[in-house]
Amino acid sequence: MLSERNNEPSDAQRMYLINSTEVRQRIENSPHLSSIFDAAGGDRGRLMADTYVLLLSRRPTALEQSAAEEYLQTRASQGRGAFNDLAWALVNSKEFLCRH
Amino acid sequence: MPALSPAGETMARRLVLSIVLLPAATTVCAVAWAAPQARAKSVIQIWLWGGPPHTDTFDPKPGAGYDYTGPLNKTIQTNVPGIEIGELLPLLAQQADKYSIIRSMTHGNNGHETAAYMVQTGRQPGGSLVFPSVGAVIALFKGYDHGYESLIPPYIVLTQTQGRFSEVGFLGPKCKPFATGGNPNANRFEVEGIIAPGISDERQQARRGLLHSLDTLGIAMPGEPVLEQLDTTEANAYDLILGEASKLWDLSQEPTELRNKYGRTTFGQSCLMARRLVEVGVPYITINYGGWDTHKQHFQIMRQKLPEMDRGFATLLEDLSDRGLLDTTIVWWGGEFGRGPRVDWEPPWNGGRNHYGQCFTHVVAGGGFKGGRVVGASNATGEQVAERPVSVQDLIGSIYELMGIDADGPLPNPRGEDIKVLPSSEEMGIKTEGRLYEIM
Repeated sequence: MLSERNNEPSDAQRMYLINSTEVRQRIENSPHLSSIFDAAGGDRGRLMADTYVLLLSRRPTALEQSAAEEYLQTRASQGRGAFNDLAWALVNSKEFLCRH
Repeated sequence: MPALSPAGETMARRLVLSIVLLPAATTVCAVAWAAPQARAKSVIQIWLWGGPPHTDTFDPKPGAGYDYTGPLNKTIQTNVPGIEIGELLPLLAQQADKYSIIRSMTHGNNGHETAAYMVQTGRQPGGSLVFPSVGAVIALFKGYDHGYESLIPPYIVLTQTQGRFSEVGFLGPKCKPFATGGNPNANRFEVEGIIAPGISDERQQARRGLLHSLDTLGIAMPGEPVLEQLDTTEANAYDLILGEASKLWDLSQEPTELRNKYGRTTFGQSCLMARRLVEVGVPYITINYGGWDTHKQHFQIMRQKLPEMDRGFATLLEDLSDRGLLDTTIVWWGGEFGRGPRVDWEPPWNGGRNHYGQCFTHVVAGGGFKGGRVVGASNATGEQVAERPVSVQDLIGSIYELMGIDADGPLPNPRGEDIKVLPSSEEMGIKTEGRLYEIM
């Protein structure tokens, strides 16, 4: 009775992507994201560009760039945590959910 | 999948529905007609994983001698004249008017996996189909296809699934148990997917804000139905994570006195959590309570575990009763088997009890089950059933009946085979007196 892939959004799937341990750990422990984070050093522009390319296969728009920049800056004390939140936001973005 | 009418609807309405739905197969009508009137809305299953000792709990045998009783050779008179239980259960002794003790459970199997499968599904293992557990069957008949709308899943396990077999069997993800993870006795009960470890509410809010400010596709395509649905699912998800619904899991909402009464243990707080889940209408909750496989150091472990069990279980019964919930909530206590009534004194056990499926005890309360009764009896040592053998089919069939589920109705399965929700004892070739009508 398992159905085939269904692109209709469901609450359970959304919960899973937003807040499950599995997805959280995938982001925290991703070697790809780690290498992007390490390679960027403190260069937030490069960090954002590389993360966008990895997850959405494009570079961020100027608007996105400034929104993300602001988030990373205000939550700089979180360190890698703020970057994980950026990756999380892209994984949960409509663009990722519908087009990737 | 055949749609069951919710119990309580009139026959006339069912008839109308069945006529309207005629093309949807005749089984729909058959099931709707036969479904018993539901008396219970929820089941709390206290699953004592590993097998609790019947003779140290609800079927004591003080006269059997030290080789059987070990140091636990006393009983306690309960609040029901004539019913005595084990000496380490003083609080449950005061609640005996609320539950019935089935002292003649039997299936004869001593293997954890096989016995757990039998007791949780009512089926013999083997064959090519993996059958669903009682909780999954109730999630099927009382869940999303039958009017259940809550975002809280209909089948919840506190806190980890058994792992001995797949509880959902062939029913598919809708009926799968939601295991909370976390520990309800911790300061923050980190419920899987709802309360994320290490992520404060403040950070949840902040990153949700980030998600919105990066919503380029949503801004570019306003009014697009699929994208709008994603907004709805997001709002629903955050209602559970940060909204009013997230408070369900916050046991600090309960009075400290009551929390202490349940016992500040994982088991005690799981019992309290189970009550809260019943209050929001969850039809099936399993408290998966491990640590009962006591081959060694049995009596030392019982002195530690039984008071904890006593406190949590007794307070749950009292609390459900005080709130008027016990009439519609079945509490089902038991494990995959009992433990050997004769103590293993020799090395390497040095005072342990082995698996024992020949004769064991389960306890049921509420939801249409009477209290203050004993069903069946074991012999003088607790090793054999002496009166009224009860099979797992009799017990599970009784639970289904009280939940308004027709055990003889069809169970949808991937092969489209003609399979009943539950076979009867007779069909399993077990000689018993059938379902527990004397306590229903």
